[in-house]
Amino acid sequence: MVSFANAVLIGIAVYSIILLSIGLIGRGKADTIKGFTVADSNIGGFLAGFSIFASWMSASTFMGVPAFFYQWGWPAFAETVAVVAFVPISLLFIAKHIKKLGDELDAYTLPELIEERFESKTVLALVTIVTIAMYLAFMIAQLKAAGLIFETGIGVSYTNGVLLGVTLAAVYILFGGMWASIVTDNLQAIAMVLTVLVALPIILMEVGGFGGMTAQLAEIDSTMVQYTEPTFWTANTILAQPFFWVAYIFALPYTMNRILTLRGTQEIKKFVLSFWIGNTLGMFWIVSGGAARILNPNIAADAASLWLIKNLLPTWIGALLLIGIFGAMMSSVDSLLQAAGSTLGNDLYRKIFVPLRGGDPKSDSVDRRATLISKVGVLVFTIVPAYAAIFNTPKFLSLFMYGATGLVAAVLVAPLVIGIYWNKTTTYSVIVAMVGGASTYLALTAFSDLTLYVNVPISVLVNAIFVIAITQLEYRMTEEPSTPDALTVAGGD
Amino acid sequence: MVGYLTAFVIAVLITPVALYWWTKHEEEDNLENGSNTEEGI
Repeated sequence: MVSFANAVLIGIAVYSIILLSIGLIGRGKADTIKGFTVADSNIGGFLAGFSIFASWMSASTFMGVPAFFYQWGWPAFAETVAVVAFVPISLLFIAKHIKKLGDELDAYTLPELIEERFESKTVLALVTIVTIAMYLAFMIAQLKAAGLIFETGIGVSYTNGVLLGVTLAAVYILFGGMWASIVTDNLQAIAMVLTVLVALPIILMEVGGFGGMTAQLAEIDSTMVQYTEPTFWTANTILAQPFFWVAYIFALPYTMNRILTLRGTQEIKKFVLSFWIGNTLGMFWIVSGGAARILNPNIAADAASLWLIKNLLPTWIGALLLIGIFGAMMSSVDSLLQAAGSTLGNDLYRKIFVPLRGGDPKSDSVDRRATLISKVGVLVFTIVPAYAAIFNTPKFLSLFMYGATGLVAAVLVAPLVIGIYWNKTTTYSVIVAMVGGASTYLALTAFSDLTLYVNVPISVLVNAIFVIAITQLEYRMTEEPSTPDALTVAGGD
Repeated sequence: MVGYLTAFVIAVLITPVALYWWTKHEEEDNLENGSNTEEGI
């Protein structure tokens, strides 16, 4: 009889061999900065859709979100409803504009798209700084998940688990760039879908189905079966959910970068459809947290779903599903590393540093050096967060990630959306609005009692008001407002 | 619980309805523009 730890070890070994082989096959596809960054813009809708879903459904969805249900019960389900209702539809309506704008401006990443749209290095620098901060926070959260996965799965220490996860991700992303990242995302997407379809029915049966689970949660704490609860999922937090999630999806450069990889705008329907399927299944996994709370009230909330998988399922199925969650963590880590590498090589070096020194950003030598810097960046983004995940572990990995993404949303979302639909938007208004949005978010986080779900929409709104008001003021008060040259693909005036 | 599960089902249905609307809208656009495929050959 194979033990659970050995089954997990064998599974992870097989999984790693497959990932590394894909990285090696994709090696030739990452020789140029365009290959590394957008896979030469030649990815079909289904592949890109499942890829976004796999990056979007990280360890946060499979460990962090069930932790909310473990802690607070049904009130946390509001997050699932909001994400399922509003995220795919938001992608549907804006993906076409982002792709068209990206093609017209020849932009490889979302920060670059913003920079080209507003023709400003200051805008790019602002976006790049908050994005790097977010990537670091994301990596820390995902690596906490890696530590817990290996600790639960194979019994190694949490520290060794973190080191093992990050080493695997860094090695294969260095070989493959975006192409390897997208192909492996799809394998991981399949593993994640199987996790939900196979494990959830078994887990729910163990606690008497939805009805049985709800009745037992009510006995633990009556607020766990209500629509709101007084400590975190207050009425404000729940009402803010749709606004938070719409802002959140556009604040993730590594998710938005996937849109720029599409072969053309005709791929968008397939892309949204595949994302919708995965997103719906993945978000429903949250209810597993309720079963864990009933069966074992004494575990760390973030480890609740791992405990269920290890203890309720037959050895091999459990091991397979643990690897599914490992895959979820891995697909986000590799997307993050890939995007973080691109941010350093493409945005900071090629777009800011080279032009400042009077060089040609499109030359072959700059392209080679940008690719090298991207790869070195991957290593930097590996070592720093691994250190933090080991010595400064966040309590709720999902809330830690959301907090960091909130800052990016406060800076990026309003200028992106308004800039796409409104040609008049001025560069000066965007710079002021970005600083205003970030300051509002940081002040609310530091001084208000509101949750981050409320703070983010308020900050995005403040940012939007700045953009619109300052643009209007510029048009009234100056002869030459700082509007970039008119774009043919963006919206009207 | 029943309320939340009902809300979830409605949430799931929003995207297919939007995709249906999007497709119809796109077909009308293509007809108006004299193009008979979504790629607009």
